[in-house]
Amino acid sequence: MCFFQKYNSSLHKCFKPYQYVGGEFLSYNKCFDDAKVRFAMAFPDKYEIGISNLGVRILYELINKEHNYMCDRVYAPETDFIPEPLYALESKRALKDFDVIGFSLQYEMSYPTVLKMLDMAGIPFKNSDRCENDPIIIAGGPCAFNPLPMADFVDVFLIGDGEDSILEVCKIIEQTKGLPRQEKIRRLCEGENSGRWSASIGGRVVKRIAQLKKETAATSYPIPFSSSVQDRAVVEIRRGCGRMCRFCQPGHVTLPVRERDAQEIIDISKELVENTGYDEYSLLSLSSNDYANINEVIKELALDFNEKKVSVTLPSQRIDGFNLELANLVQSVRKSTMTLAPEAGSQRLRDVIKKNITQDQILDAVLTLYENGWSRVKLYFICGLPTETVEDMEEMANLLSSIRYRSKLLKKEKDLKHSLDLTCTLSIFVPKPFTPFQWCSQMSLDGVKAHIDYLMERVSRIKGVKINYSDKYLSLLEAVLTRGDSNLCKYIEALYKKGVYLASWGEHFNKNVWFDTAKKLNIDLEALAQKSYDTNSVLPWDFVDVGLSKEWLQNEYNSAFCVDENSEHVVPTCQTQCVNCGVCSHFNVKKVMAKPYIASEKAQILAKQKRHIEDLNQKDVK
Amino acid sequence: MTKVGILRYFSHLDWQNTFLKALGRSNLKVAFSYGYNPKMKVSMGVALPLFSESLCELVDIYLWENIDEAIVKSELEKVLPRGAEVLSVEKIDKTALSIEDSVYWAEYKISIFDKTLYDFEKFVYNTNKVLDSDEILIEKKTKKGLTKTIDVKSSIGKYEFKDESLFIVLKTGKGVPLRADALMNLIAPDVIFDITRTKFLTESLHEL
Repeated sequence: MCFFQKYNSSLHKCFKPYQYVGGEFLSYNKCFDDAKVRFAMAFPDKYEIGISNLGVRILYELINKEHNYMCDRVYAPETDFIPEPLYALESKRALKDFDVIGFSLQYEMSYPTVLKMLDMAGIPFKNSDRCENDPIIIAGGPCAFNPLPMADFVDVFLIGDGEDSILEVCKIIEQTKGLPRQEKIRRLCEGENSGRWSASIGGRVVKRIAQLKKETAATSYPIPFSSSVQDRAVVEIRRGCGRMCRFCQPGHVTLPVRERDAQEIIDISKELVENTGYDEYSLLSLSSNDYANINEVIKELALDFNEKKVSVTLPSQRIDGFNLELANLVQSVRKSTMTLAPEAGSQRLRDVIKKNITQDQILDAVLTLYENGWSRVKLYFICGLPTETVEDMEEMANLLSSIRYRSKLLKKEKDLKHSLDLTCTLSIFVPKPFTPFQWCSQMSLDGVKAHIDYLMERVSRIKGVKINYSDKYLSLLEAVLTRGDSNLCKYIEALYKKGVYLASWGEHFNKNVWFDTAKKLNIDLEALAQKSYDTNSVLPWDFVDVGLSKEWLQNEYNSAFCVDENSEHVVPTCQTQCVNCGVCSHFNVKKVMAKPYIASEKAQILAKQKRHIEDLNQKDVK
Repeated sequence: MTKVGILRYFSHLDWQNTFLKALGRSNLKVAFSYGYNPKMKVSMGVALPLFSESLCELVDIYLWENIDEAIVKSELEKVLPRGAEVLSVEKIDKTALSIEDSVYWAEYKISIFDKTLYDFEKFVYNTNKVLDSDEILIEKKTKKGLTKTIDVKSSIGKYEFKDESLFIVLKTGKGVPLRADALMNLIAPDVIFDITRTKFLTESLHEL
């Protein structure tokens, strides 16, 4: 029976049926039967999240560009649609018929969803139960850096950048057709630098590093019929981040910094916008305004895009890299909100996490934005950081209050129309592997709650400041899973058996199931989250080599705890000079910085004109 | 334009989203609205409910340049997804009535998706029973979330059974519009029908 005959009535009954029918513009729809390797890219979360994931887009393109390989996609269906069995969107073929299924592990809470998807596909969720004909299950993405909690369910993990590794996987699968399953797995993990690891083989694994090349950039990808999160053309301008803030895992595991050349960014952006028809593009990286040419690139693109009404958005901005010109360039077609990330409210804590910014810089940045027409500014903070006390929360409240006070003065002085609104998003600190804080304990939930309550109470008296904060139980579970070892496999399995699915969504997250299940298995979640390790002990994830030297991490950890009022607020980072973290010497790689770039004369004139018109408009408003 | 095939699984908003992105890929110089958030000046006509197909969708596009209809058609054909076929392109005056102001009625073709579950005679009998009654009451949700019962008898135009299908004219756009799927839900709840909008009619029932 054809797919639509079979599923018509189920599609009629479910919410958002478009996510199950495929056929998106720019999807490849390659022939299943003709392909020598059939790869299914699986995303253990809803379609609207998965379709816009940049990593999946890049790998999907790379595999499909190869003549003999086909890559199809599958996302976790919502609970009101039950495919029998789970199929891939484009070919509508059962997942079980594919050679390889690659899961993208973006966040820990999706682990039980992986098991459920395998089960829906009729594939045994445990490595040991799979038979010769079952597909090889691989996984990559940020969570794969600590593969242990999922080690029983994924045959092979890909550590680090996937661009080169994924094509090697396809090649090995092609060459090993007909060989026993275990032999395939062995071949996939063969070699010191394969960057692939399997629990059945064990040993150490070294992360892969890919260079940002024009050929591997995503210049076309399936465009969802409906809108999704990040529904825009996304261009990666640099990988890695030289700031190495002590809590940040992406900043530590994606080193060295590799920048794309300005001209290449311009070419890719134009090609992508032309291919996809998006009216918005985003220049993506861990810290976009650290890219020295960013203003010039946007200016040059504006020549073409302003007329086509294509606007630019940037991820949250570093405060020390903030400049008004950039802010103005960003809003030349459409006005977007500006997000700044001070991360911690007190100077002492900012020094502890090595944020490298001062209170004056924060005030300057927010007030400059306000003065130039942004009456709403978003700020990101982290709560429950190591060594945090109530005094730090008091200082955060003081910071917010002084921003508001100064904005009021400014309003009077410059006769501005709107008052300043601050929206603060608080996340709760999670100690992550491969960061200097990997040894730290997470603050107890009661402690964090007390800190947040204190702040809320203080802020309730400040007008125009709104605070949102994340679920504390989610943060605790994240801390347990991200630093987990293979003992947690049984926990993930038990959670899946209890029906845990799409747990990162509020409506599907039932805290009691997570805690009760842990209790039954004698897993003390609080103790695991709050565990602090001795800096000389062997950590469960030490067998994964991301290049950072242990000594450097220990030093960073010690410096964090030595911070006092006399400490320097700004210390050298990899952005400016070598800090000897070990990555470059260990892997024999180098930081790749883009050549300086100046936009054409025409672009400069346009940018100036635009600024002039804005100045006039502002005077008009007054 | 048509909206058939897998496009029936997309809501009107998704359809609009898809169409605007397609226009963005074309070489047509579409006019934009002014203001802080410039949008393409495109009007997508009367919303088609999810799961319905259409052979007569109307779209108004404001262009910067006066170009030949054939060019517009070929430009659109290059970028539109399968299932969206451009039937014809006509130039209209800037002062012409908008789609919403000119459409009063629409004709639908309704047939049973799976005839083994629900046969045609039953369909004819039940349809006549509902349509022949003095009042046809349908529950509607108001914007405030309350349910309101309204009589839609006056929103039903002529109908006939032909080729194992029901062809029926229903009010759309202004006044008391009646959705074909809402009517079918009254006639045979839980039965799945293939619904296709076949044409739009003016107030005086002339085909648009």
